[in-house]
Amino acid sequence: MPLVLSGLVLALTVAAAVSLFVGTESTGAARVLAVLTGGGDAEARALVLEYRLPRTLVAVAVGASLGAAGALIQAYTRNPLADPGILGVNAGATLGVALALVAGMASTVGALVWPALAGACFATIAVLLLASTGRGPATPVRMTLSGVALTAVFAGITTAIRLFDPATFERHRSWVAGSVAGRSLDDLATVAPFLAVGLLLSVLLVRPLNAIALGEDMASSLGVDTARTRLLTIGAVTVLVGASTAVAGPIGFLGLMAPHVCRLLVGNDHTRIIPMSMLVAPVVLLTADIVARVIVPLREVPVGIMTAFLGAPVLIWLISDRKVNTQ
Amino acid sequence: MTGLITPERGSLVLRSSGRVPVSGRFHVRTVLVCAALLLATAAVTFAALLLGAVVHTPAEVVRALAGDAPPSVELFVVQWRLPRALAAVVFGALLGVAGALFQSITRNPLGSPDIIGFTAGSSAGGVAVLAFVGSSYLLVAAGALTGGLVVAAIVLLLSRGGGVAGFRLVIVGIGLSAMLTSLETWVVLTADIEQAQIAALWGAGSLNAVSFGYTGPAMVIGLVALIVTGVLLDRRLTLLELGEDVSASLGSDPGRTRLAAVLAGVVLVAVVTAAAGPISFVALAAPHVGRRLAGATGVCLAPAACTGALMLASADLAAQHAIPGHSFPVGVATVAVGGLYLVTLLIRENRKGAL
Repeated sequence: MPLVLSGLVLALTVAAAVSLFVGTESTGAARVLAVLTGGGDAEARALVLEYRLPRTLVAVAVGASLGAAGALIQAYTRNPLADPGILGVNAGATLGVALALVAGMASTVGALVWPALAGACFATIAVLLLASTGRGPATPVRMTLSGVALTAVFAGITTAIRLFDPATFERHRSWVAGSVAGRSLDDLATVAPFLAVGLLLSVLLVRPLNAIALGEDMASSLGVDTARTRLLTIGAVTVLVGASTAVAGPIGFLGLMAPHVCRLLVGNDHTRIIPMSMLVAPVVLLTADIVARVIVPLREVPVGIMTAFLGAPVLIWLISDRKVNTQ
Repeated sequence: MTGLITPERGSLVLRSSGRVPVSGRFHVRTVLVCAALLLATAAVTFAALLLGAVVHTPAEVVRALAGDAPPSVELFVVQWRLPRALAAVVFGALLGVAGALFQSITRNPLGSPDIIGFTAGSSAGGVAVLAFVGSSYLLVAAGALTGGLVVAAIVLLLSRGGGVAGFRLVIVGIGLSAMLTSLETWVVLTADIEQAQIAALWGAGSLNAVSFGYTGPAMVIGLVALIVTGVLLDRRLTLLELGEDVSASLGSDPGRTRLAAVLAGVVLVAVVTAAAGPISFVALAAPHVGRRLAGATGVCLAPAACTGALMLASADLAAQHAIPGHSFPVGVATVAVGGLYLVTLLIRENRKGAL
């Protein structure tokens, strides 16, 4: 365990460092090093300090939040296929942002945080309600399908809004792919309190969620207040996903992948999976972002597209070979 | 030549011997329901011809269709509104049948091309061609068909041996759809704003660009594919639904039936997608609604086709005129309404405890 943990911290440090050195425009390693030691020429300073550094920090913060949100939602729903993107939370936040833009709110991160939070909250509750209607438990397949259905409704309304108003379309289209490029430290500072609260809540929820993994009845008899845990978990997921989406746009599949990587590394214990997801997810997001900068020459791919290409195969792999009990 | 029609518990049985021996069984309620649906579709289509920036009287429209109206009226009714109204009817029917085919072979009420990723595949193929090659119908159609077939092959390959009522199929489709949608997002993002608007409109599924010159071939190809599918596959699929062994012992090879149905379904979806972009959820909902209305069991291609036609025609009418001054792509209407339908479908399946 300490070995895995230190390995992850090392990986995160390396990824963050590489993120400062690699870009669409190649900057010599010596120039970047000069900037980092306090010197360097003006151009390199601007590139590294005003562009790559904020971007790296945003990727780390957003990655940690989405990883924690994924681990929470998987633990709480006991559903290995759960992911904020798959369950429609991202689509809800996207709709919230589109509504805010069309209502004439500024397209700054600060103005968009609350609409994104409201949309994420609405979507989380709707998908949980929908999946638990009727007979029997909310199986993974039910949840996934509920997410798909709600995503369709939200996306349909979002598209209608975007086409209704071309100005919104222009502002919305760069946001909707999910990217950490071009974000400033101010943007990060705006959402940082929300992310901090969400991450703190996730750490506090580790033990109750471990008990809930045994079943709600067992958890109650172990002295866990299941109603409060449910409320706090939904709150934490909403805050984490809403705030991340407000700053970086919808980034899918990260919350799906990170907990599974952790499960492979440290086994099925939420006291380990949840904190570790906060380390694994930023490593994945940073790596995806670095690859996204260079994979198409002179053209950046938004990192949300990279994570979809990494994450969808993971989803398909999980469902194959009965790794996941679909019933 | 002797012909004989005998009534038999809810059906009419036709037997005719002669130079061309024909026999068939018609479920009376199905026939009546289809006729009623077609009447309703005709009414909606007529309304689509009347309404618009310039509202015409029914008499003017009839005269324009007969060919003796002033050129201005003819321009509006025959040149502009008729292609779109007809396309909505034909494409709706194609989508309904495609949905019925996939739901039948996957034996899953959720196995519509929207959910298992074929629509996304066709759409990604079409967008790629639009962005990098050109916008003539045949090119876009080829792209959409290739995309649809490739995704169909991948989905079927990955979900092999899924069993469990094809749930693996659904999840694999959702994963692939997510990848393809994000790819499309990127194409839209990299194009300049005007091209991006065009691609986004196309990606939303729209009948705005429809004219006889552009979608005429699509309608003809689609109708031919539709009739061929109906004649060749309706019975075989009904047999297949009774089980592979029953189907084989009655002389219809299950493997070949399934392959033919997948190919036919992909062609139908691709024809529509190439002409109008991805129009979601008609393929999901039309077969269910059609089967319920007809009160029949089995594949029910004809009710699915009629319901699909009525659905898309009404959706397009609503998308054009529901909010005055704004004409939405029909795909937006079908996604929002179809998503709600999927929600109710899920609630119903949950009640049954089927999922």
